[in-house]
Amino acid sequence: MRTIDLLQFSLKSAFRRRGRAILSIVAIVIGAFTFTITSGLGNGINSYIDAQTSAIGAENTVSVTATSSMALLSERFEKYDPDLVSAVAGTGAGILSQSDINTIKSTLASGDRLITSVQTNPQYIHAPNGEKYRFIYNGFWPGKKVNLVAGTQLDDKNSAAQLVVPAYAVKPLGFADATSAIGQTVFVGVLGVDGQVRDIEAEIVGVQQRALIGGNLPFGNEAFDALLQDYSGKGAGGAKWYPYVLVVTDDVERVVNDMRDKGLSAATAAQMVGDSRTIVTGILLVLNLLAAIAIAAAMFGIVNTLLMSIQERTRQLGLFRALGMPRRTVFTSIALEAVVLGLIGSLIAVALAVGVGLLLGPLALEAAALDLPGLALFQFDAGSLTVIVIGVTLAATAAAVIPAVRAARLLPMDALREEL
Amino acid sequence: MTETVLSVRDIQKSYGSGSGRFRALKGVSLNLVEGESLAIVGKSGSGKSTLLHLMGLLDIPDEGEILYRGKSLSALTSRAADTLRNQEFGFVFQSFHLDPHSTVAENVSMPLVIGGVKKDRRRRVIEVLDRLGLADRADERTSVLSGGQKQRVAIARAVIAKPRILFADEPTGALDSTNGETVSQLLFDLNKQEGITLVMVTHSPELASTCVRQVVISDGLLLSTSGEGAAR
Repeated sequence: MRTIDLLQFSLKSAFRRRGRAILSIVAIVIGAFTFTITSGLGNGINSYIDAQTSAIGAENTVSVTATSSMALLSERFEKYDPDLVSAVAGTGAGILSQSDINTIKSTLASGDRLITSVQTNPQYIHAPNGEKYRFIYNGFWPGKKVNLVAGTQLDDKNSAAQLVVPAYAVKPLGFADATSAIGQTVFVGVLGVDGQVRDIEAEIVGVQQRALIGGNLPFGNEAFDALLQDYSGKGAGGAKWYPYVLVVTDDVERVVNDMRDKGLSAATAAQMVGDSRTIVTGILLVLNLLAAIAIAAAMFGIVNTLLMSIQERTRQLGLFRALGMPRRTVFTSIALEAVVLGLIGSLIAVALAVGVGLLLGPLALEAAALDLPGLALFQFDAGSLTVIVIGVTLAATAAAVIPAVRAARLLPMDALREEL
Repeated sequence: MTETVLSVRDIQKSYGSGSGRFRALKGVSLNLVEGESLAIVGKSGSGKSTLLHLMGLLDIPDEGEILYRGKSLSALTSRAADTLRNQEFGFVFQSFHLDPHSTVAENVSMPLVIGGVKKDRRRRVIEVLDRLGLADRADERTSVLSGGQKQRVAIARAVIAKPRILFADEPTGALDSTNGETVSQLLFDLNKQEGITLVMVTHSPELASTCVRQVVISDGLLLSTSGEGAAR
């Protein structure tokens, strides 16, 4: 039998009982639709998290802090370090002393870069002659990329102090919009240990899009950070303390392990957003489980449909066997019926899900009052859509095996004799 | 033309098991000669239809051997038997076994479709239908046809692939006398003009007597052979 004839025959057989075929397809659509929506949701949220991760810091940066003395599950006392005598008490996180820094330095491999940050005390930010606003610093992360609405990324090689400010800062600072803020000079007041406030003159090079994870606060370049540390430490004498240090390395894992061996706590940018990713993954797992249940139910529907169809067509199948149709062809034709149902069902589901996702995604975000630029709730890619269509069609075909074997086993005469 | 096309040697067939076991054929031997017409007659339940089905490879005997042109068919793979049924055998059944959802032409072309023939399907179908006086009904559904017309469609389907043996199981059993006459006439025309060997099961004495040879089956055994061809 030629393939084209076989296909035509299976198509005709699949829709012999139109109502039943449509109900089977609906069952498949429900399962495949759930899969597609879930996958779109996963893609959308994960790619948003990825974008936010790059906003937190470069992938090859490890943040090192002392183990927090405030940690609820602390299991040891921390030795008192006289160097920390002038550290601000009650900051919560453990503070690194000079000896800690030396310890860290001793573990570093050649090529690793240590960036220390002493405790800083920025106070306010203002444009020339503008009103002063409290300045809460987001810190300095080497190689940081933020999602910009205007301007450029920070340049760590530039010796002039640069800032990237969040979008909400544009209006209070007195600029008409994000674009006109670029290139403007602002002043950041820094409180020294001696009680004096000194201004850093910095240029706004970029305006950051509103972010969920990366922090909605101003970032500075290396030059800005150096001035900030310098001014904050004025009058401190020799003692220095550090809330955290950064290690830039090609081997993130080694550095993290080394730091932990020394009793310090170390985290990568990816680990900092790891929690949100775990939650998302967990939710998606549950949704996928529901989709799998729907597909399993649809598979039983297909088994039932095909068994009924074969029961009804016993005489027809017997006749085809009598006219010389091989068992293998009978098997293939029944399996192809399932392929037809699975393919139609999954294609409809995918089209429906993509349409619904793209139309309702923005509406859902709006309804939930989630103003998160860059977040597309649903994001579909051709690869996973293809996998869903193929996977669902394969599941449908698998469901056809038992009915198809049963049909192929019919003896021509047994089938023809059947009284129907 | 006295070549034996099909030989049946001591075949036995039972249905069911245990106390419900029914021995339909208890050992029947028969030779079918190329181009002849053979009537298998007997009461209902005598085993005559079972014999026809076994000869047509529609069923498998429990014991005994069937030879087609000298070759044993028990050694045949299922696939080879399928090909034989498709190319060398034609079947006509009492209850037609047409697909009511398909057109006349689609029903008739089925053996060609199954056999993988791609060229000239439509032309061959129309040719055969024309011969049986149904060319103008080619694109109608078989469900609108009368009994006689349906059986003619079934005959068209049986001969479309130019078989060597035509098996007919009570071909006129479901037809009135006029239609029955037409159908049996067609079968004998095919037998005489095309040289197709004809094997039919019937309980109609008139139809049986039109055949060159008649065999009587009773209680699963071959009772007697009569007619012009009886000597063979």
